This record gives sequence, structure tokens and C-alpha cells, in this order.
Amino acid sequence: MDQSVIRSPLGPSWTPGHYGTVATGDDGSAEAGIRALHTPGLLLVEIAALPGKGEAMRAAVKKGLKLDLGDGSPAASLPNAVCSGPDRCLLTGFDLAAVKAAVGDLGLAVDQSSGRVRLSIDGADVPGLLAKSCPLDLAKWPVGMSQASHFLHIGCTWYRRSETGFDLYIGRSFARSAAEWLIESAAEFGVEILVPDA
Amino acid sequence: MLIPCPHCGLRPSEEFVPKGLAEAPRPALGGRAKPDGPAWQNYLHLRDNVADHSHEYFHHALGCRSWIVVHRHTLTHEVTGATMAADFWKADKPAKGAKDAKSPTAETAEDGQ
Amino acid sequence: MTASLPQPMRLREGGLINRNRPLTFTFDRRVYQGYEGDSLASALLASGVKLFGRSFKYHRPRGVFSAGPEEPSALVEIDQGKAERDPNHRAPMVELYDGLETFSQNHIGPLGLDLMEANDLISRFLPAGFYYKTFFFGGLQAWYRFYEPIIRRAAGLGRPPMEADPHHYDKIYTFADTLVVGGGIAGLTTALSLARAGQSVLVCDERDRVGGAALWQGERFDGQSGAAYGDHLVAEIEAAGGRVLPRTTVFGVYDGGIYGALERCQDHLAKADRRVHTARMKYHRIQADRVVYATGAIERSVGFMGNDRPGVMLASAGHAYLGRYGVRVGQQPTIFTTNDGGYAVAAALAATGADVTLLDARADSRLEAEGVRVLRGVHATKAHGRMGLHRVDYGGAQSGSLTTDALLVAGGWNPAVHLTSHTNDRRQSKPVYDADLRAFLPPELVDSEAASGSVTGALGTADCLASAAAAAAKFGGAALDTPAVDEAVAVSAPKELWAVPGAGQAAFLDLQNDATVKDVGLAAQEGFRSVEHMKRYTTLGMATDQGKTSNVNGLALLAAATGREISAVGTTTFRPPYTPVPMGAFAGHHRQRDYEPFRYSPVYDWAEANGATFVEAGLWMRPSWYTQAGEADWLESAVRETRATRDQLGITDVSTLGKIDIQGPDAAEFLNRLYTNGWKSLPVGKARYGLMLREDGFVFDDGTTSRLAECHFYMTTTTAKAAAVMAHMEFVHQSAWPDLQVAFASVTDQWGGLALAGPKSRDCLAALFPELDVSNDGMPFMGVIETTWKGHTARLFRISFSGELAYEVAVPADVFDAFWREAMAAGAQWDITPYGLEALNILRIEKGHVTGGELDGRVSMDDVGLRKMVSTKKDFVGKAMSRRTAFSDPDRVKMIGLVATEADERIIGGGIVFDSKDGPFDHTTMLGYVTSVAAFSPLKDRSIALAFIKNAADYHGRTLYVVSHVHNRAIIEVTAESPHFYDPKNEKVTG
Ligand SMILES: [Zn+2]
Repeated sequence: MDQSVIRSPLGPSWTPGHYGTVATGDDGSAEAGIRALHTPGLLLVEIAALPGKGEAMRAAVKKGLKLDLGDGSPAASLPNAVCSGPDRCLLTGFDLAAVKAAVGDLGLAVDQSSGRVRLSIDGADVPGLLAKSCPLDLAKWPVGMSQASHFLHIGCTWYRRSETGFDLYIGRSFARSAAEWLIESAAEFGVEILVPDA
Repeated sequence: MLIPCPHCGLRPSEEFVPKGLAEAPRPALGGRAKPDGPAWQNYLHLRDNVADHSHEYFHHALGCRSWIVVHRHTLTHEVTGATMAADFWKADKPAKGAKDAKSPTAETAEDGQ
Repeated sequence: MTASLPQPMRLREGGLINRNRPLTFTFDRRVYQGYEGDSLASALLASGVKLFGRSFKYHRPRGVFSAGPEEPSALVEIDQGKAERDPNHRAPMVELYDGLETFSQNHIGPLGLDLMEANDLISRFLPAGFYYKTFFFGGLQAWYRFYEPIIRRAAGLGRPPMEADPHHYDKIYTFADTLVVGGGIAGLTTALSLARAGQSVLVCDERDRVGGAALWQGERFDGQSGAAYGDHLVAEIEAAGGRVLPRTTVFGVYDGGIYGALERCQDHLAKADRRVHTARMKYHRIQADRVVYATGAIERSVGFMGNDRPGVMLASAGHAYLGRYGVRVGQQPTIFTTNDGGYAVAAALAATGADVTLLDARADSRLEAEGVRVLRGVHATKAHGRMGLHRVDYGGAQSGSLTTDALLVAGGWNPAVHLTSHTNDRRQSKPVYDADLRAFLPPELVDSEAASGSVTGALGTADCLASAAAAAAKFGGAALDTPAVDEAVAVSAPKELWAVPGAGQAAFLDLQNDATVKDVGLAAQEGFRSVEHMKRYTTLGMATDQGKTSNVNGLALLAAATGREISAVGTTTFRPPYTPVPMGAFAGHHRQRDYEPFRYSPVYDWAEANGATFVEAGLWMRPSWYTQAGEADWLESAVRETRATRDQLGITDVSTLGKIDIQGPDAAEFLNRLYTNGWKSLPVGKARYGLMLREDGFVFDDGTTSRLAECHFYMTTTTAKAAAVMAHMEFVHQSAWPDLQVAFASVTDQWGGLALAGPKSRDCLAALFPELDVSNDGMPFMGVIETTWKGHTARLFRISFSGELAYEVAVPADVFDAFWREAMAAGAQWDITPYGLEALNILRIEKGHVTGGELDGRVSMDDVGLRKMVSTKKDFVGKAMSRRTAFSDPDRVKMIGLVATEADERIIGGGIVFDSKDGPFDHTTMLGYVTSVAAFSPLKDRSIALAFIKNAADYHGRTLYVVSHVHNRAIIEVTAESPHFYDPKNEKVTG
């Protein structure tokens, strides 16, 4: 696959750098309460079981992809296998052919590498940003759990990676607005748009 | 208003789109029911509009995309539970026509054209 | 540093102000000084200002009436430094800062000489219902021409800003186990008890400083002042993991444990100190399992003549200005009380050396206050002093007149029950009148609610603390040591006195709406028995303060006038918001261009750089046309694009079409049930046009669906209906056929799509995919090929919307921009022309293809000539209802094409079709209506349209008339013909 023809789904506002309030750290450097990262070219496959085949599909995925999706609940999500609905999951880092081979005729497997954008946020002020943008109670959201909800009224799937680290999966055509709004909402705390690893 | 999605847990109503009362199952496939017959009229148009506990379809559109049936009291707005729509007509709803709604009849298997 | 401008009413000591930090501010452009910790009201009172504004209806001079959020009179405009003035700020709630600029409201000319004051002189002619009655005379014309402009100018509160709110607001989702509304000592005590028990507790207090009435009443807790004890409680709550938000008003209670609160983050700061990226206000949507109402109580007045004069205020206000701000509101103050509470205020003022007289309405009271002259069995009858009180008459056991510069009225306390009754539906009850306390108490609370402090009707600090402990106990709070309380305030239930005998006009109940004792009597006399009707007739209890100081007096007087018990009259319905909330706070970030998100195609940047003018299509930004040098208007561009497509080669972005990937052994069966036509026989590698109905038989949507494998289909929907079709499929699958072995996913955003259309489209496709056979045999009409482009999946479809030979190519959205540019390069030799929605519209109207304009939810398959799409051998959604008798009514309108007779006339969209130009142009002669218009069709060399008319088949070839009632009844002559203007035999598409 020719990777050079891949273009970012995010608009010109998503340019690495510091935005909003500048707090000064102990060493005098500018500190951002939030760091945000978009990884372009991520492989992403959506799977969904046929009715009644959820358990069988998860067993097949465990066998074929070495991913333990547990009972298929949001709480059983993994960093690279995020539950987005009943018997439905977003897998990252696997190509479509491998997933299709694993899922077989137990469900749907469809490439969403272009269709979903993953934005990752981290930092001490992430709870403040989440309070502005999604209706979920962090106190009742354990690390490792996904939640299908919204980000500023744009439908999305969230995944909590750590105490203050979250992944946000959002439809590509919405991503430009979402990125602009993320920067605006995070400006109160200061936000650093990171450069993705090459 | 908060709605207890069976998949996602308690979520605000802003994530949901309402469709209306779930008072009758979809009549049997097969196309024999007359358009002005009671089965289709009940399914499409007739609602009791009770001042009591009610069953309403909601779509968790900004969420897990499940269609659910919410149990709500129309006077107090108290929400007492919710069921996946996929389970609703199977479970404790042996209402008229419920059995038919679950599976297609043999007639539908033929292709048109 | 000390203040240099005079503050004659400021005492030398006392109050919670920082005398080392004077602040300079203006009121009506005059410069004043106050101190850090002052409110605008306290600083102006300290400076000797009595006149704050003019009233709503009569333009009577008004002062400040309260020291809190209930303020009805002292409303000011504030220059926020960005837009114009921001009206209706309550002076007691405005925190002073250096450089604050404020203005009085509701007057023409100087505040002291209001030209509209004549309204006051004729006030006896402006009673309740005046507007309703008077403006029947002269009819509507008189209202618009004469009355309305005058009343608009004379009445109203403040001036609305004429520009968009320039500030930024945030909406915050906030969660707590327990929400405590009110940060008085009672609320904080309950909160600490719950926090210590491990609950996450959120306290919202609407003032800038917690402590409530203990900030000024003077009671002590374990020897500490109310302010110090309040701060101590906050520290303990925070140490136990709770949160306390000052300047945060809980304004509404909603179903399911949702509360609305407004936090004011910036307005109290000097302009230079305001933080750039912080919202002016934050709207907290609080979700809490439990709530404690610790909302306190609001003092009420008594109706007597002139009780609105500047200098007349609530006794609690006089006490608060003294205790909290060190401001003595008069040197010779008079207290008029109906209860023991007035004595504490009198004593506190007397202790400052003031000459205090107390009028006790009760003859049997035995209380005394040190240094205070007490007259018993006496009530105020009239206050004098238009611009500032100077004398008060009294009557009752004895009568007389006193010289005085402040009259403080203690009419009893109304528990602030507003929030407790926002969800009356839930409890099916309203606030309850307690005849002993002479006050409305909260209705019976549900399990998730408790009340703490004076809102329960508790009088006095010890009782409030007892209620705080009871509230905590209801929710399993930890036991706390009760502080030793040194009560400063004697308390009792008031004597029942809503208005003094003989009070009438100019005895005010609602100072904000100028509603008087007489108005209530008039309403009763005219038959308004319901308190809700009385409110609307007299306007008592309306506007920004919602009658916080006046409601109970008004309904009590209505009860008396109609011979009923107060409990039988009841309160009006309290609704959110408790205090005003700017609309901007509800909108948050979602305003103007951020009202909704935009959806962008992967080639948005290319289109923008190449002259596209965009149109919002749903959420999508879609190119409408691409302007080239020298083109005068959109039509010139669109016609060029149309011609290029018909003659050579056009390219358009179809990425916005809804796309749904459907997999599973029952996938074909599922399509069979969704679409009117059949799908089981569709071969792999072929596409088919499909039509969906709603369950009620009307046409829902159309599109093409391709079979990629035996159990794998790729569906497209219209752009407009993409979300609705997806939701519909989920609904029927989950609710009706949950066992059908099919799964599907929206892939709209995964694929970018372009259409190549025109005679050279095949050549262009061959240039893009040289290894493929795209000849008519290799890729016939409705053929589908799945291949790759630079290693990425590409799907080729031979389908046409334009009526030309055409192909659609879909590649993953990530690479679509690159693919589009390559298509532009490949097509350059045929002058490939990008076309937008306007050209697309002309092309499809010429072809007679329907879109949303035609499929508007009112048409059947027959109406749009698609009956041939129905399979009779199977069932599908909408089939039963599609046979309803009304659909075969011969009078139903059906689709037809229209061509303008004159080359230079445009058919008007939405026009009504008639068969005569003589009229009448109404429903009796109407044939139908126009749904889509091509302003110019290159094919017909004039304007064409699609329309729906009765007996359409009979009108082919006949002259008709399109009339637009919204364009001055313009009449356009047209000829009717088949809607398939272009290539009706489909030779272009299939060739
Ligand atoms: Zn859900």
C-alpha cells in the first residue's frame, strides 16, 4: 500500500504547538494541562456479531487475534479492542484480512481505517475538558472501560486508557469540527498538540 | 431525564431519539393483513396515551445504537427500567401478534422481480 | 491607602470589607468609591445614594429594597467592556471592582427628572388589565401605530443589547452523590456531615461568600463569627473530599436528578484581571443522586402607601448592609415589624448611635431593644419622599408622623421553596401553607430530597442547625459536634399582616411590576379567582425577580378578597430558572458557526482552493458551484458545468452519500424486506436501484445497492436521509426481526466517492485504471468492480444520476484527496470539469430523477411513477399501507415536467400550478405545485421544473400557469410534458 497518498482528516487548526492558557512550570517552561495526539494511517476494523453469535465471535477473535474481549461489555475493552455497542468492537492495529479470517461467518468485519479518527488526550486537566464535552461521570468510569457516547454532541466512542488518558474515536467527516472544538474547549487549561511519531 | 440503557448504563436523554409508544408489535410479514385492518392500524396509529406506566421506543443514537423500550410513568416522569427492543416482544409481552412479529413467514422467502 | 471620596453612610468599623483596598467605580458616569468586598448596592448606599432607578410601569423613583438575589428594584446596566451595556443586573448581587461602570435604567433624561414620570401621575388610570382593556379601542391598527411604540418605550426593563453577546460561555457536566443548594451555615453543616460519611458532595452557593445570613446577623458559633465559621466548614468539607462552588446559582430542578446551575466566573473581576480563555459563566448540568435544599428564606414586606419610596427596604437588608458592609442605611431609621425579628435590626442600628424608632404591629408584644423607641399596635400607613424617604405616617393604636431617613420593614419570612416545587409532577403536590408560621413550606419531599435550614420553616440559628442535622441523618451523614450557638436574633412567627388597613393604589406588592394592593382587589372583583390568572392579569410575580418578595402577599390578599383560606388559593407554579440565566449560557460553545458541527468531505480543501462556493446540506459542506474567471453569477457557472458534463466530462464529489455495509447469510433477505423490489437474484458484481417506503406506505428514500459477495452488500442512501435510513434499519432489525442473520455498519465516512459523467467518462476511467476492462462489455450498466488503487481498495460502479454515461469510484477517505487529484490530471485532456450541486440539480431535473424536493414524505410510489419498482411476490416495509385506498384516489397529484414558454422567464420554486391565468388562484382551482426548478436548462434553452399536479397524464402538451403568491402573484406560462426531458430511453446511460 502506498502510504504517501494518505491525507489527514483534520483541518489546518490541528497543527502541533501550544494553544490557550500558558502556565509556567517549575523550570520556567510553558506547561499545558492537556496533551492531544492524532495518529494518522491507523489500521482500524469494526466487527459486529450476527444475532446470537456474540460469544462465538469473541471466542474466534480470541483464537485468531489473541484478543480477549471477555464478556463483550464496555468494561472488558482493551486498548486495541474497544467495545462500541452490543457485540460490536473497534479493533486497531489489525488489517482487514486478518480480522476477516478470525471472525469468519460469525459476524461483520469492515475496514474503518479511514472512517474513524482516533484522538488521544492526556494530562492533569483532561477531567476538566471531559466535563465540558461529554456527559459521563469519571467517578463511575474505571480505567480500561469504553463508553459509546458523544463529544460535544458528536457521536463517538471513548476509551479510558489511564487515570487522565483517554482515546476518542470519531467519524472522519466530523473530525475537523471536533478537532477545532477540542482546541477551543481545552484552551482554558492550555493544550499541546503533539507531533505523531514517524 | 436519565435513561438506563441496558448496554451502556444510565445516560442523559440527549443521547437518545424517541420514536413513540411501543404498544403493538409489527404485524406478520406476508402482506396478507389488509391495510385498513386492525393489526396495521394498531401498529402504526393507535396509541392508548395512558396516564400511567408506559413503554416507549428510544434509539441510543449518540451511544451504542441500540433500540430500547423505556418504562416511564407518564405523570411523574419516573423511569423504572428499559429493555432491549430485540428482547421486548420476546419477553413478557404475549400480546396479540407478538409471536408473528419475531420470524418471517415462508411467503417472504421468494424473491421478487 | 484610603478612600478619598466621601462615604457618609459608612461606619468607621465593622463589616466584611477590606478597608485597605478602596475601589473606584461609576454610576451614571459619576465617580464613587467603595471597598473590596462591597456590592454595588452597599457601595452606593455608603456613598449616600438613595435613588437607583425608575420603576417598570409608573416610572416611580426607586431605591434598593433588599440585599440579595430577590432584589426587585435596583436593576442596573453594566458596561462589560465588550459589547454595549448589559441590562438588569441586581445591584446587591454586583460585586464591586476597580473600574466598574454602571448605569441606572428605565428613564428618559436624567434619573432624577424622568420624562416618563407622568405615568405615575395618571397611575390611577393605569390599573391592572389596563392594556388588555384599552387597546380593544381602535383595533389592531391603533395598537401598532400609536399604543405599541409608546408602551414599548415607557415600559420594559432596561434596554436589550442590540448585538450578539460577545462573551464566551461553557456548559459543564458535573456529578455528585449529593448536591447541597445553598452555602449558609445549615447547608454547609449538612454537607460536612455527608462528606464525612464518604459521599461526594457539591455545595453551590449563589453569593460570592458562603455563610448566608450568619454573615451579618451577628450570631456566634463556638465563639467564632458566622463568616469565620462558614470558612471553617468549607475547609472541613474540602478536606473530606467535597466541593464548594461560590457564585453558583442552582436555578432549576429537572427529572431524574438533573439540576441546572449557573457559575459566574468573570463578571466580578476587574476587566484587566479577566482570564482570556475562561468562560464568563459556566452552565453546570449537575447529575446527583440526592439533593439537600438549603435555600434559606426571603423576607417579605407589608402593603402600605409609598412602601416603594427610596429608603424603604426589607429589615433584613438594613441588617445586612450594616453587618456585612459596615453601611448604616439611615441615621434616623424606623423599623416596621410584624414579628420579633425587627428588634434585632433595631438594636444593631441603635448600637451604632442611630436614632431608632420601632413600630410593632402587634399590640401584645413585650420585647424591648436597647436604645430603641418602641410603639406597639402601630403600623406604617404612608411613606413620604419622592426622591428619598424623609417622613413616615403611622396609625393603629395611635397615629402620628415621624421624621426618618430609612424605613425597614419586617413582614415575616417566606422559605425559598421555589426549587422544591420545580418537579411538582414528580410528587404531585405543591408547597404547603403553614397557618402557624404564616408561610409556605416545601411540599412533601421524596426519598432523594432533604431540606436544611430556614427553608424548612425553622426560625433561629439553633432550629436551623437541628434541621441541618436531620437532613444529614436522612442521607446517612456522619454525626457532628453541634457548635455552641450564641443567638443574636430573637425570632417568632409574624402577625398576619399582608397590607395595612386602607392600603390601595401606591401600596405596592410587586415593586418590579408596579403591582399594587388595589390591583389584586380589582382582579378579585373582576372574577379572577385562580392565583395563576391573578398573576397574569396583574403581572404580579412576573419578570426578572419572579415575585420573590411579593408573591405570598399577593396570593394572601387574593384569598382575603375572595373569602378563601390561603391554603386553598395556593402558590403559582414555580418554574426554572430561579434567577435569570443568559441564553448564551445554555448555548455554551454551540453558537453561530459552532452551532452544529460541520461535516467535511476529504476533498473540501481542494474544492475551496478551486473556486467552490459551499452550501450547507444538512451538516455537510458541499460545493454548490465552482466559479471561473469572468463568470458573473452562480447560474453562469452552473450552466457551464452542466454543458461540459453533457458534452465532454464532468466530475463531482459524492462522498456525502450515506453508505452502509451489510453482511450475513440473511443480508439479501434483509434487503428484500427493506426495499420494494427484489434482491435475491442480484448477481455478485452488480448494483441495483432500490426504493424504500416508510411503514405507512409513503416513499422514504432511494439509492443503489451493490452485491460485493454472496453475503455482502454495499448500500448507498441519499445524503439527506443517511442517518434516518441507518436508524430505520436498526429499528426494524432490532424490534421486528432480531433473529435475522445480518449485521451492518455505517461506512459513510470510510469511503470518499466521485462521479465521472459525460461521453468521455469511460476514457477517463480507463486512464485511471489501465489494467481494467471498462468497456461496455467488460463493465456494463450497473456493473461493479472491486480493485485497488495504489494498493488501496477501490470500488467502481457504473451508475448514473446525471443521465449521462457515468461511473462512481469509491476509495478510502484517507486517500480520496490524492485520488481526486489524479482523476483531475487524467481527465485534463478532455477538459474535465468539476461540477457542484447546482449543476447536478439541472442534470437530474433534465433526467427526471427525484430527490428530497419530490420525496417530501407526502408521495407514494405511484405519484413519482415508481410503481414498477414493486415486487408483488414478497413483503417489505410499507407494503401493506402502500395499498391503502387513498393512494389510488384519481385526484392525487403526480409528477410532471414543466417548460417555461418564454426563454427569459424563470419558473418559481414553490409556485402553485393552475390551468388558467384568469384566477381565482386559490385551492378551488389549484392543480398542484412545483417541487424543483432548474433556473436554466441548456437542453431546453430555458427554465424547466418538476411539479406535482392532479390528472397529470391529461396535461402533457398543454399550457399551464405557475403562480407565486409570495412574488406578488407573478404568473409564468409553462408547457407540461413528461418529467423525463433528457434521453427518456436511457440510451446514454446504457450505451
Ligand atoms: Zn446504549
